[in-house]
Amino acid sequence: MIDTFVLSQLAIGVSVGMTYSIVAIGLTLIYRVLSAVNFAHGEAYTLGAFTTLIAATSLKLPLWAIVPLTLLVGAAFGWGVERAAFRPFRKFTDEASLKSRAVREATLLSSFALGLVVREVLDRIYHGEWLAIPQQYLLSSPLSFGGINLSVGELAIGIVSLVMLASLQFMLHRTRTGIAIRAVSSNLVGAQFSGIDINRVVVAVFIVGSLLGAVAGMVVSLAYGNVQSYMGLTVVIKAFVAMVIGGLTSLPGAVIAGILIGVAESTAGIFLPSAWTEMVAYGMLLLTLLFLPQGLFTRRRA
Amino acid sequence: MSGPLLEVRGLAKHFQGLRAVDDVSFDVARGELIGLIGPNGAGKTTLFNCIAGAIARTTGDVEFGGRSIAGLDPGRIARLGIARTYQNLRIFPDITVFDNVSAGAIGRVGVSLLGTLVPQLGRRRDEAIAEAALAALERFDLLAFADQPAGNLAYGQKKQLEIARALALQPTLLLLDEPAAGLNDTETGELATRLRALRDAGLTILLVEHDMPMVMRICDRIVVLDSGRKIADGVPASIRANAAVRAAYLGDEP
Amino acid sequence: MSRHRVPIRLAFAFVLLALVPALLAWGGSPYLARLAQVVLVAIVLTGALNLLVGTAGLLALDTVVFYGLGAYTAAILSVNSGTSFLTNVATAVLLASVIGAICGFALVRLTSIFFAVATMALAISFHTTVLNWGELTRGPMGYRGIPPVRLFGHSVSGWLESYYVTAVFCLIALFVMHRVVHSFYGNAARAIREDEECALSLGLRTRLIRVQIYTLHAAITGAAGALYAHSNQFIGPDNFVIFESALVLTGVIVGGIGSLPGAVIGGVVMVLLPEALREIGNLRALVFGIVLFLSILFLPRGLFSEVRALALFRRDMPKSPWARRRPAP
Repeated sequence: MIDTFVLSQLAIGVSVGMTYSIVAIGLTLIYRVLSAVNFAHGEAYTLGAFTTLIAATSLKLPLWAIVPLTLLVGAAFGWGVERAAFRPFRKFTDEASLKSRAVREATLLSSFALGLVVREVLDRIYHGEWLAIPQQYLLSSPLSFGGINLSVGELAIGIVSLVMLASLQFMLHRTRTGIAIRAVSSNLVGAQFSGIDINRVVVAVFIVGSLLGAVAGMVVSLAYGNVQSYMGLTVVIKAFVAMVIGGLTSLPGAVIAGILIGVAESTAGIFLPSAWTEMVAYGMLLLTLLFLPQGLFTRRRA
Repeated sequence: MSGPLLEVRGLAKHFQGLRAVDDVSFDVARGELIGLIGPNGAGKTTLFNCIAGAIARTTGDVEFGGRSIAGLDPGRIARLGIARTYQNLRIFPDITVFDNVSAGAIGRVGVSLLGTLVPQLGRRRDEAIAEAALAALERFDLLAFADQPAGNLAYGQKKQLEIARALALQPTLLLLDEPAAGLNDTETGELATRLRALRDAGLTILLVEHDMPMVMRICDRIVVLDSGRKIADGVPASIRANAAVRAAYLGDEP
Repeated sequence: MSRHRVPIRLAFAFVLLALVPALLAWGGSPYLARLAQVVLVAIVLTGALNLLVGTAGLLALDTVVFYGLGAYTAAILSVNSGTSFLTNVATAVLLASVIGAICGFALVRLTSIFFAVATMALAISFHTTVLNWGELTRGPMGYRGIPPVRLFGHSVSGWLESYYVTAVFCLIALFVMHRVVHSFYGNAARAIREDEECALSLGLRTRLIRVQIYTLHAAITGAAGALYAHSNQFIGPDNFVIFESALVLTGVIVGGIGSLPGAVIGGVVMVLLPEALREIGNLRALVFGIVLFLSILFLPRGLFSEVRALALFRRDMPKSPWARRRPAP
């Protein structure tokens, strides 16, 4: 019988990994459409957590009201990032201009800079401290399933992630926006000829991605109880690793890779001190970039 | 040293079921000016890319000066003496005309970090590079524009620049992909004269073109492709009279 | 064109070796002298990164890795083995070069944004390692008691001597970088940057040149790190966070990608700007985020563009056949 401690760690790893997966989806969606990386994406996660904090401490909203507020903040942030850091560099929407190296590098830097500014502003306001969410909101009560120990929060992360994935699937396959997104991702020229407005699809992708990120941040803050201005940065880098390992353009790949990273981290955590578990993700990234530039789950382009 | 300079043997390139180049064979002798023609989509640029090593062939062989070059990387092939230009004009617009051309010269002569840091060690190479670049610029009457950003040149001059840059490599074989595209009659005439002069000076040239009058005028031999296959190979007069070629072009007067 | 007869490089050397020390002696303070040294080191770091990001066209955030490698090598060697300053610098350069060559060889084939993120991962990993490998690096406490620079049997003392050591180092580094940028080698690197496939078809050894430039950038940055360790006499993990890399990168972009004069300007701005804004409080990171963002948006070629820099130093390209035959401007 496998040690129940190990199983618990695995379960936690899966749960944390799903956080990375959700954030990775936002990155992957953007990459599929623009072949560019949004380095301000982590701040959607951070803002989701901070919205939860503010709603709980200052506004004293009930839990059911925090959710739509977080969604709103996430969507607004996504729209804002696209407007400020990506749109100014998009002069033409033909494929070559849209995905040119100059634009990709410029938006990498501009989104990095924007993320830095947001982080720093939060840092200034809250003095870089870890802030606690009031006890009554926390989902930290322990649960036990046949020896596997989790907290309600960790289970909630898993459930919420699954719900979001399902909603995303629904959106991508059953709504006009979602279908437009898929069309542009797989065949830009064809989509343009069909009359799809590329700019609107780009905005939609940013909004959806940031929504997901913000919800992830909300759930994690409720599960673990604290919030800090740099929390999004560490997560987005691991989400980026998940995106790369998942094959850059594959959504299921990003999800699975995210879980893999989470599991790898918690497994490593059994043997190594926690500071070193940070390196697991970076190690996986470097190994992937060196030996498997296509990632593990390459999606064949149309 | 006798024998053809370039031998293409049964070269084929397949893209997921599409036979872009299908069992093409032909020779190019030293000092020949060969034209490669065919309707759009006949596989001419793909053939070029295979010879120059830019894409990997599916089967077949290419021999250059008696040695097989199929499968070598493009840098190696360039240093062996094959220079090329591109159909869609790839010069470096943000650097000067001189710097563009010297890039080709650098390819042949080579640069080293040590030679750069210690001037005495690199002087000879630097002079060789500068010589080759200037000679190429002079040949194409571009010397006056040497210090201008290449992007400032007129289209016709940019095309010349690309050829000059390829020549700075001092190649044995020059592959030109539609050098006359976008040129007016005067420019095409100048180009034709230059190419003939280069051929007379001993350079072997393989040329993809759509400009029939020019091709008929200056080429020693013409190879015709259609849908990836070679359908004719001979002197201009015989190609002009060739029914299959005319059919391939759907009645276009060659 | 005889105006350009003014030997710019000599003038710059004069400023560094004569003018600035004179000004400092006349009206400065030890603090200002220290600041001047920080500016000089910043110039070297920006210049070295510019070789990679500008001339070679590889966006990178790995300055702190080699800076830290150099600094810690010098610190560990000098404190534990009492080796001389020059030995430490040489070892630092050697180590940085070897690791730089390995990393460069492995990473150079990645496309632009993935190369950038890989260097980011390297930088963060380096910082984590330094922070946690206490037995080697003394962890978060940092390395204290690094002996001052000792050259030719004489320990450097006082701000003037310290300044001169840094200034001479800066000039040597700039000389090396200048020769690389304004030469046919630099031209080859720029061609590879503009269109790698095309450069390859011209016979340029693209991978080799890129790896060489990466290694050179690592070596110069490592040397700067060793110097920093000895002149500051204390180093800690906080000096080598990813933000410092981003700072240097911002200096490169603001000054002008691919332009060495631009890198000099960028380095100066990078250090002096937060000094000027000292009253606003510790807003360094925020200001730099905004500066970076605005630069990319409105001044992508920087304050002193590469085109201008290349034109300025055109005379440094090989002369004889060129000067003989070029038409009068």
